[in-house]
Amino acid sequence: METMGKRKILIVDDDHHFVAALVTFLTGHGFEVLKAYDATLALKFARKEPIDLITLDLGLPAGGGRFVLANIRKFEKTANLPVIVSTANVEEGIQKEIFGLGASDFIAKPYDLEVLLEKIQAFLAPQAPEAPEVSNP
Amino acid sequence: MSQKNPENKTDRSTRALVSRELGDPHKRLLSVFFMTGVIPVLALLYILRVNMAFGVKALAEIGPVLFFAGLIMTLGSVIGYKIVRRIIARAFAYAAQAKRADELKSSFALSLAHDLKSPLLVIKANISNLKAGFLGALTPKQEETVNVCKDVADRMNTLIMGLIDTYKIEARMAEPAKDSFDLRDALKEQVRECAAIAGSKKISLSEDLGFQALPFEGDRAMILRALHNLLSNAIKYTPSGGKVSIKASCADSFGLIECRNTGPMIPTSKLEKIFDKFERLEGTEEGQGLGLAITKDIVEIHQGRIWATSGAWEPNCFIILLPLKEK
Repeated sequence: METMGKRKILIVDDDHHFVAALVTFLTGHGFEVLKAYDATLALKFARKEPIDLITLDLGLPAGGGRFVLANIRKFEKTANLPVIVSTANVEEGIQKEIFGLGASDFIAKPYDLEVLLEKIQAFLAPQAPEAPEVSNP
Repeated sequence: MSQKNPENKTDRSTRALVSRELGDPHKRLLSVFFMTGVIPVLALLYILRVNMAFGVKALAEIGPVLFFAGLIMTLGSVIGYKIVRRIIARAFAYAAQAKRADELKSSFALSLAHDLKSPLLVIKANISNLKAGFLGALTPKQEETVNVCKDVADRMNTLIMGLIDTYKIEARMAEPAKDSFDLRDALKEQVRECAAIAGSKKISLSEDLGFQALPFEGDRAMILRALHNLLSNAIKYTPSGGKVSIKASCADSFGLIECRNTGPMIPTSKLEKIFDKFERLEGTEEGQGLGLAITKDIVEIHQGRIWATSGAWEPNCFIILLPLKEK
């Protein structure tokens, strides 16, 4: 199985069953995982833990998803952190709103975990070492 | 702070809709009432004229008859006016009720479809874990069962997304954009996309898009969806080795799209019903019966028409007529 090294992912979702499944999936693919079921815990982890990527459910209770995203972009440490936002909301303009809030990518629920994995890998793929300069003889 | 009352708004819009359809019924009734009320007066004038010509006897013989006839007509028109007015008032109330019930039904179905997404996501996630072997190695029999579960979950996903699309379009939540494009380009794109599916079923897929441009203004994504549904539906119901063809042409100010397939004949009684939600032909198990319903909604949003023809000696044909952009 292809692993990506121990990159740390924060899962922010209030559905415990889904989080359990996603944890199994991501750890199975070699990631280290942190989980937060609400906005407060999510922001605490984002500030204190060294995190490489966040998967965020926009539909956290009481507008928590939007709150988390907006605040993550405010902290200097997490301002450029990749955040993949998922939502079951299909209203027109939702994607525009999400990207406007600072999302790095978007995925509509219900999605295949394999599709989410591809998106994560796109952000966390190890950068290819720069080719050494070839000097002309 | 003032609050808008959506029910009043619905009533007003329904009333306006019915008034527009029927004209202003009260004004019409009043004019009928006036006309019928005028009849006895005219009759009396006529009697007076006859009386002048033939003497008092004529008035004595014909006069009462005409007078009572006029009286009955006047009374009748008054009673009739009240009855008809009550019927129309009830019709307004029923129309408003029916519209509210329809809106409630759509809103309920939409929120139900939404609510189904979360449990489905959990099911799909666990299936992914099982398939990946993260919960232990599977025996071949278990793997087969997991694959069946995955197929069913995918079908459920398609159904939910189809339902959401249908009700979104019905509720006009998705206001169509006004993109300018050539209908033939949209068709070419969809033919390309469906070629692989047709190939896998050994179905010959041909196109005849002509040379004349079909400029169109509307929601490109929606039209692509409608054309995709049309083609994939034709491929789905055509047996292996059959033919599907798509033709586009200009008919006056309309773009005419004809999609033919050599699938089983569609019974005449089903030719209209196949565009209803969840309607599938007997003996078919594929699909959720939403594709053509969505296509019809999209075509109608763009002021177009769609219908189907089928016969024992001719291929099934689905025809779409869309108004072209004025030059």
